[in-house]
Amino acid sequence: MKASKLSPKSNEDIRIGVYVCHCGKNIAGSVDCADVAEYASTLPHVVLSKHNLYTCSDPGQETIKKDVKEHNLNRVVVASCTPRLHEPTFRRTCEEAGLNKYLFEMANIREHCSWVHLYEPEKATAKAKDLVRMAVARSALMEPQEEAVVPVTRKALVIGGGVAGIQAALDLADTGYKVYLVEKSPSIGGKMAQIDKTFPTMDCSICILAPKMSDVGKHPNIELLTNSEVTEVGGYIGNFKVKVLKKPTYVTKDCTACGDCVDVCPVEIPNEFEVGLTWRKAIYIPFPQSVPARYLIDEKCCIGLGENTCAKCKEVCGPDAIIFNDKAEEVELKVGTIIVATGLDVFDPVSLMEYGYLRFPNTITSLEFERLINAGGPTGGRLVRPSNLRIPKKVAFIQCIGSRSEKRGNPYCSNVCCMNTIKDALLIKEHWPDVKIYVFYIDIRAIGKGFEDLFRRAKEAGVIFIRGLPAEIIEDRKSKNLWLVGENTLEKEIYTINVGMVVLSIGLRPRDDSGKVQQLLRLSKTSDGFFMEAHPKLRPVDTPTGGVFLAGCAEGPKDIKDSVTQASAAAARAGILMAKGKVTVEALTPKMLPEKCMGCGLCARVCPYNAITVDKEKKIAKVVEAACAGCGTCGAECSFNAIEMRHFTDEQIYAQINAATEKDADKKIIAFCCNWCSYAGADFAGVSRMQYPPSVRIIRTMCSGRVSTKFVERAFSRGAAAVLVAGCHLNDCHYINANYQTKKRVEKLWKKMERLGLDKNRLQLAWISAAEGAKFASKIKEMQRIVEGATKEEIEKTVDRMTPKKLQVTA
Amino acid sequence: MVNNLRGNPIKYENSQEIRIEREFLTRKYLLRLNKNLCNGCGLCSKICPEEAIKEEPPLVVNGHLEKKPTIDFDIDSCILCGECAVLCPLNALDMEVDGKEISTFVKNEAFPVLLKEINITKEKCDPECDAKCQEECPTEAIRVTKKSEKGQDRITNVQITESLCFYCKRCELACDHDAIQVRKPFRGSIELNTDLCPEGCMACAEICPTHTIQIENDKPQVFSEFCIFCSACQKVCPNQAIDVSRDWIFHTDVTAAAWLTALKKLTSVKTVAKELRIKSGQRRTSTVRGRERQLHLKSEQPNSDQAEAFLKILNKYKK
Repeated sequence: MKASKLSPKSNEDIRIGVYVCHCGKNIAGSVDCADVAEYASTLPHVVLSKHNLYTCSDPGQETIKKDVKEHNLNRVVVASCTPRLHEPTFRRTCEEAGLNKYLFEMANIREHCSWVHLYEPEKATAKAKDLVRMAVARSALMEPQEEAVVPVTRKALVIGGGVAGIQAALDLADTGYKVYLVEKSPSIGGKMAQIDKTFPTMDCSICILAPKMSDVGKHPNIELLTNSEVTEVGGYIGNFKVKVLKKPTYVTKDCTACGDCVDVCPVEIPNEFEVGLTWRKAIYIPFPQSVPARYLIDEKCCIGLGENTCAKCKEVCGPDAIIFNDKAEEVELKVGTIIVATGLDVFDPVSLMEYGYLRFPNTITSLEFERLINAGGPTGGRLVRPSNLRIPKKVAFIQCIGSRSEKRGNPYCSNVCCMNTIKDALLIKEHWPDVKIYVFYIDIRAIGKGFEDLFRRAKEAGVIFIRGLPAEIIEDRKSKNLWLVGENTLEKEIYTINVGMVVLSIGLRPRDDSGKVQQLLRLSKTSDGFFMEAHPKLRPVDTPTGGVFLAGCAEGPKDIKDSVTQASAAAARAGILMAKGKVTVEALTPKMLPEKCMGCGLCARVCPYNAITVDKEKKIAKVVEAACAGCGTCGAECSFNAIEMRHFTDEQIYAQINAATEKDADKKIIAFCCNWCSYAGADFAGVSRMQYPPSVRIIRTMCSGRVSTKFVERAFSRGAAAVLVAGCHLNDCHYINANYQTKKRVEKLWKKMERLGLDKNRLQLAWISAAEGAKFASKIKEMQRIVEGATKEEIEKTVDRMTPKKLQVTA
Repeated sequence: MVNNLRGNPIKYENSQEIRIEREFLTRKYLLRLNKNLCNGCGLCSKICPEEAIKEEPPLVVNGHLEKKPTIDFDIDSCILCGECAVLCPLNALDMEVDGKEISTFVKNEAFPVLLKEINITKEKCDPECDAKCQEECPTEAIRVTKKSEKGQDRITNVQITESLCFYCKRCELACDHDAIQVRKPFRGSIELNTDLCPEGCMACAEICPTHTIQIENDKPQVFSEFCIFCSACQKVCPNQAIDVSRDWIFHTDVTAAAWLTALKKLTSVKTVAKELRIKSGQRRTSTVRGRERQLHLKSEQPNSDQAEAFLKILNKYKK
């Protein structure tokens, strides 16, 4: 919505409306909302102050719209939840009322106040009043802004060719968009291509996957780049520039997949698709149903490349499809949206010594089980004991290997192992009804549709479920049978059970190379190591980065149904952007003031996006708005006040600092938190109801790089007891590397404080990610001790030495 | 190698040997290095197609070999091809596939086996011989059993353990009765410039497995008839006084560029060119012979028995 006649110019009479939300009992439970609303009405420029039950609801929003019109409001402040949740909602409300959406401000009195000070209602209310005062002070200085409109390229990139990537690519391609599907391994299919049957229907996995794979290969809108990796991602939502490295396969498109080359290749190495159970040659096809259906040469172990010569495969190739001088090729793609579907790795149980994986030949993993029982596997579908290649008479499944454990593996539940084991047990019974099967479990989780029924069928088929994992496995040296010793916790007795084969139900874990993808796309990870979604309930496939979406196990362990569902969801979300064809870029870019510019070029140097060019002679700095992400690092770097950061101006931040330190500054911590990580981390602490002392007042900036040394000095010169500067972890900065500037500035301040004889501990620097709510809470607790230890003399000394001299004279 | 793979090679090491084992469901591989037999000559490292063998340099102090050169394996690169086991001149490396002594590449017809022979003509052996052959043998490859008969020791049996033999020819040249015939797999030359020898240095003599180099009057002397061209002496010499080169390798017939690469690394491009010439000559001969037989068949109008017999011979040569 454009700015209407209600948006005032800077010299117009400011009329602020304040709404304090109860949020049911969420805020009202610890904060006296009526009191806060009463207080707000006494603040300068506030003409209207109300409190209501649910401001974000329809009636709440209608109230705001009515008031704006009736009382001629030109600024709106809502004191409620975190702006990361409802700022867009209320901005829309303002626009519908005819107000420019940049004239709206929020005070976070829920995640940052009521939820974290549940047992100190008086202090919580006092803090809420402070936060409202800060918001009102900033709001008075806000100005209407116009947003740039950027076109969205109607092409998508899907990273990862497992079932999630395949589904997302097909959905987008069927909608009509061009899709690039980049897969690291030589064929698409992922882990689903390796398993035998799927639960609960006992469908053959590759039989239901292969038609989809084939569709991807044939689809006119999908360009399939296998054996390729994404090496660089630049740009922003709607306009990503992606570099993809196509690794050489040494086999051309003329390959007819006849397989003559495999017979003559002398190199035998472990077969990754068969999980190392058998060999493959240096020239190979990953599996028979590979898409693309082409052989390729593994350059790591082929002895025909480089210095070595062996050309046995080339000699027998009928279509002459083998070329030894194949080179890697780098392509550049321009896409509008990206879907990350990179999948999972499995837990390696070698570290669990008691189960003897790789020491006892008859202990196998569930993935090896899938390959053994698969008719296309190395034994033709016969489930055999590796020690003597005979079918076992008794099989034991051990659950939760590498899952649900703080010390041994990962703490989370891997979602699929219970049902996978039940399915495997039924498969064994189907082929060899006389085999006795034990399942050792902690809990059986059969949550989805048809799962409980499959569980019942397994029990009816005679599978024995014992609650209590074996403590140890002892191998019988001669027969290689395995004795399982443990406690049956339901019967409260020790068991010693002899079986011919043990299957370890290994858990799922984030991919080893997910760190690379994380850095490329500047994604966040949750504490379990999987990629973080924008909101766990309401935006489960979005990432905090606009235009990048998640699908499948890259986001968390899940079964095939959920992966496919999520993939379709991500495709729909990406489709929204591409259907609109344009996206509005937030007006957070810098405004250059050429009259003050000295041409030093520091702003261009610190910009993580290289969006600024400086003409040193003409003393003019120019910013490319489309490339600017709005971090504000340039604004903080400029020492000549020649850069004004739109919507996060220096004056607005000074106003917030002044408002926060108006009363009892010597008991307060002024915290500068970045929107993406540390502010979100503080939100997370609130959502998790972690309690901490109510002395902190948080000022939000988009990036910690926005925090100028002058802000910290202002806070100290106003008598603040302590200052916290918090940002994303280094190398995880949402704006690539802007937080390195933050680090430099704080270190400079520390040196200055030491020089001035001040306690530099009162200025703290913390890297807190969006998932580290506990870290935020403990940091505030730690700083509370600093606040309490700051003497009156220390604070007076600081005020004296930090205040710029000319201010002192006029004051 | 990727982790989580059951079939990855595993390295076991103790003071006597290094074993690399790899187990698939239906095939087991074992590559074994006998550290005591190995003299660090480094031929294996030269030819390894994946550069998976690392050499540790020797330690020569005051002209004595304090520590012999050794080798180690990088199991992340080793593909268990077995080329090293085929070429080791000291029988220190051997490879087994499913318990049978063979290299993977030999099994897959990508590498030959070296031709080396030692034969004793028992008839020529004098029963009253004092068995100089057994004395001269640098390993224990020759065992002569004697039985005391009428107050005199008579030779009853001579046994050769080929797996221990270096094919150095010490026995052949020591035998007075011309009863032993040895064929070396490598052919080459060894040159030692004693002017470059540091004072009192004996390192080359100490490493030589066949006593080809012996110290006489404080200077090393080369008895080149016994040399097996392992070039370990060249490795330990502190002053580059020794030059060992190989110019031919005797091996079974194989058509494989992998072998030619190894041959080039061990000998020279000239040797490879010569081998290729001989190979193409052989191919020409067999093609011509094949054509001859075809013509013969067509012109003669033989009866069916004769035709069958000829076809059999023809097919044998076509392979």
